[in-house]
Amino acid sequence: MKIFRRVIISLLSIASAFLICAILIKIQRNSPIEVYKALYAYGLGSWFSLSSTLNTATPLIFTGVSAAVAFASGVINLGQHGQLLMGAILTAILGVYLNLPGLIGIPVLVVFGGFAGALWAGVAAVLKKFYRMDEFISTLMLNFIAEYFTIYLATYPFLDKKAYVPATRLIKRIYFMPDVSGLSLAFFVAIFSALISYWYIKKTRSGYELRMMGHNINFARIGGCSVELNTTLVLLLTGFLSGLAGGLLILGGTQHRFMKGIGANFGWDGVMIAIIANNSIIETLFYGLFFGALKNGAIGMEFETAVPSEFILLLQAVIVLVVVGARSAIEYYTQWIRSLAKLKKVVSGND
Amino acid sequence: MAFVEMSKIYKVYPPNVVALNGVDLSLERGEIHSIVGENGAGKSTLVRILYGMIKPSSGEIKIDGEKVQISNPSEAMKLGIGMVHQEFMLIPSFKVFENIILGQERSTLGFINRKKAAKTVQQIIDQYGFGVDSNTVVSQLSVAAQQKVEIIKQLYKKAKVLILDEPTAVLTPQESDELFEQITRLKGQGKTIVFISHKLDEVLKISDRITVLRKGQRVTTLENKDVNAIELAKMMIGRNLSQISKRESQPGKEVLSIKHLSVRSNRTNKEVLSNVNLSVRAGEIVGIAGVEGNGQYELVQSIVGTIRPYSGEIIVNDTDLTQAPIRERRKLICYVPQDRKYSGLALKATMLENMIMTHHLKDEFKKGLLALDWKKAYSYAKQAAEQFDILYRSLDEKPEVLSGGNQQKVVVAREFSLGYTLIVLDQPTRGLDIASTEYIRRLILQMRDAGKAILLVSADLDELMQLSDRLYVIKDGKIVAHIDPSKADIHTIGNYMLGVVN
Ligand SMILES: Nc1ncnc2c1ncn2[C@@H]1O[C@H](COP(=O)(O)OP(=O)(O)O)[C@@H](O)[C@H]1O
Ligand SMILES: [Mg+2]
Repeated sequence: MKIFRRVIISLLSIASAFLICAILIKIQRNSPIEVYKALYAYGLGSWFSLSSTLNTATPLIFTGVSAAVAFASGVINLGQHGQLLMGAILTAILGVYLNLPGLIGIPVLVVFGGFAGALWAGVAAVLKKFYRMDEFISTLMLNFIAEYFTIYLATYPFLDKKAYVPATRLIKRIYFMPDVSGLSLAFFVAIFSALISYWYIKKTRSGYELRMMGHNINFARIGGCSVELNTTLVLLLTGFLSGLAGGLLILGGTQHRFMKGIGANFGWDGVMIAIIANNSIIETLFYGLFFGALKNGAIGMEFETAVPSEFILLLQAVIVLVVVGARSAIEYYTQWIRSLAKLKKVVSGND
Repeated sequence: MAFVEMSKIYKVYPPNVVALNGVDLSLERGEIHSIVGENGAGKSTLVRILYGMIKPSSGEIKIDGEKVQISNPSEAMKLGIGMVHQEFMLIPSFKVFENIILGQERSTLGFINRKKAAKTVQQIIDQYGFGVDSNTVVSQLSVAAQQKVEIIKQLYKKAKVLILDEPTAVLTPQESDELFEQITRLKGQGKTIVFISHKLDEVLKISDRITVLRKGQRVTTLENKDVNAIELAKMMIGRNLSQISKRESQPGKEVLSIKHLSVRSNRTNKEVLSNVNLSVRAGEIVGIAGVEGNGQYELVQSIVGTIRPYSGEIIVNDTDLTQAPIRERRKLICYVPQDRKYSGLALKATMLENMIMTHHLKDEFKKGLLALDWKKAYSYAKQAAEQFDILYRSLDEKPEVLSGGNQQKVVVAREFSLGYTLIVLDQPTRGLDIASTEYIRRLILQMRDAGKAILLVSADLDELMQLSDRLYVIKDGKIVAHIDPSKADIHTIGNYMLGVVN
């Protein structure tokens, strides 16, 4: 019942967001139907579109689940961007120098990417544990440091002299992530990680403690949950997830090297997705795929119509506002209507 | 004609809590009108509507026969209605007169004449005999004196109707008596007093008329002289009050032992507990009495482990827990915290998740390396919810939809079914209706008879007298008396609490 209601609310909100944007497109004297057609064709319309949508969704799922797990535990990890970059740079560097057979090398590199992300988030955990610094601030700041640090590494010590832009050298060919007719295996790793995270947070004792911390930290602490240890654990785990996103971007993406801008906006998109999904991992998965389709469709839309791909940012923003707004508005008004109904019943019962 | 006339007042809190169900209330000039009713009967809601803090769902208010709309407290103020809240709203670092004139500054050219203001305020204080110095800083005043400041503030704003919402809940018996004298004096000056309480002896002592509320409905309004406490209690709860009887305690071996415990405040480094020694044996209830804020909280928190003691020892079942983390302690201690919303429950998690807290540390709920045995958890929670008479629809429901009494039962059910020998209770019945209070008190006695060692901290002296086998009085962080409640009366204990005797 509750799940059913949530699905309905989400679908209605997305539909109304599309409607609102249709009006905006119309005002710009473009055809909303053409735009949405192109969006669909390039987002989902063919195997080629679908597979590249799933590839685009892969890092979003990782960063989204990372944010959702953290927020659900009451840990405000906003450092997905930096953790992803650290994962990417380590994988990119090791991919050049490490000598392992492909079958072993790929998982090793992916896991190293995860570790780099976890370690970077671990800095925030250390700052929190020993200096009582809010992870909310420290993870944000670490994003900037990671940004400049990775660019420095790609520009100086590990620069590929033959590249036109600051970039590391191409990783060994044996480490390229295999794909199934265009769909990278990285996507399956993302789905698998999301499901594991779901199981962990819903079914395990530790996951239970984490969720209770998210609901009421005093309740959890008094109840005997290891609040401090858990906070560290969450930072490491969610850092690991973001780091995986980075590692897989290198192994599974198209560039196979670390370049400036490789992290795109995946970190912040993940945070946004977690917020829309109300920190539910299954919903995060869904919205990750959905935004992947939008991003991918946007490219086609730009080809086919006069609407620039930046329009998708607007659509995304409208969806966020409508979904999050609708959730609280619907909550508020159903309560209000129920109270009116109750009043009527009570008043008539007395006469 | 009545001075204030509220008629057919309804209030439904979203989504479906009927707090008031067609209540009428009329107030005369110069009367003390008490509103009695159990917790949750709707007393606060009714007066908050009169004070403009809450909008009624329907109903009308007349003052001097004229219909009025009171949509916020400042409109109420203009109509001469003032209210002292259950929680005070004073700025601790301000002086008394500054707090009183705050928001009502009478200035010339934007300058406040502080001397004159202080004098005006002092005049009011003296006129009504409040005995407070208008130049004292509020943070240095006792709770009782702060309450006086709140009352003076309303008088300064020229209140004709003064609403006091459970003013005696925070006072000792002596302080309450003083308040009653002042209230009577105010009535003599023609003020109307609305006095809310669920303590019937107080109500019978001072009221002219009494309105009884039960479950959001007015049962009746009657003259004080026409009623006695037993009748009033019956009207309040809709049945006869049952007596809780208690057997002699059979104390066994020592379970909790606290030796030379001292705790210092983190901020001020002052001692908030000094050299506390106490013990609780199996099969007895040991009460801690004291004016709130005298170290009870710190005592409980150092037992549970959220506060680290400065020196001393805390020993439970021969295990030294002085330095142990909370997690280890919770494998030995059942604990009902004083504020169920702050730390007793996660209101937005499910009932099941609330019931399994702390139990999840036990081996029996482990499944495999990491997983929790949710099936077992479910059957435990279901069984406990039934055993403790919790009214709920499903274990997936959130505790936020339960009544206060049922929320507290969730906490109590969870903690009592942990089954450890030591039970620490901090205000276990605060804010509950009479039925739930009685129910929980009976459970506490049952637990004692089953051989548990119970430490009971309460601000309710009646509760302590009723349940405790031994009673310690705490004042300024020190144990100042060790009393057998069957041999002492409530005023003696009150004197220890206030530090009048040593
Ligand atoms: N802000 C609120 N939202 C929802 N329910 C409320 C709110 N305030 C009070 N209630 C409910 O309304 C009922 C009456 O409460 P209240 O007026 O505080 O009673 P009393 O003061 O007699 O104890 C109770 O069931 C209480 O839980
Ligand atoms: Mg009240």
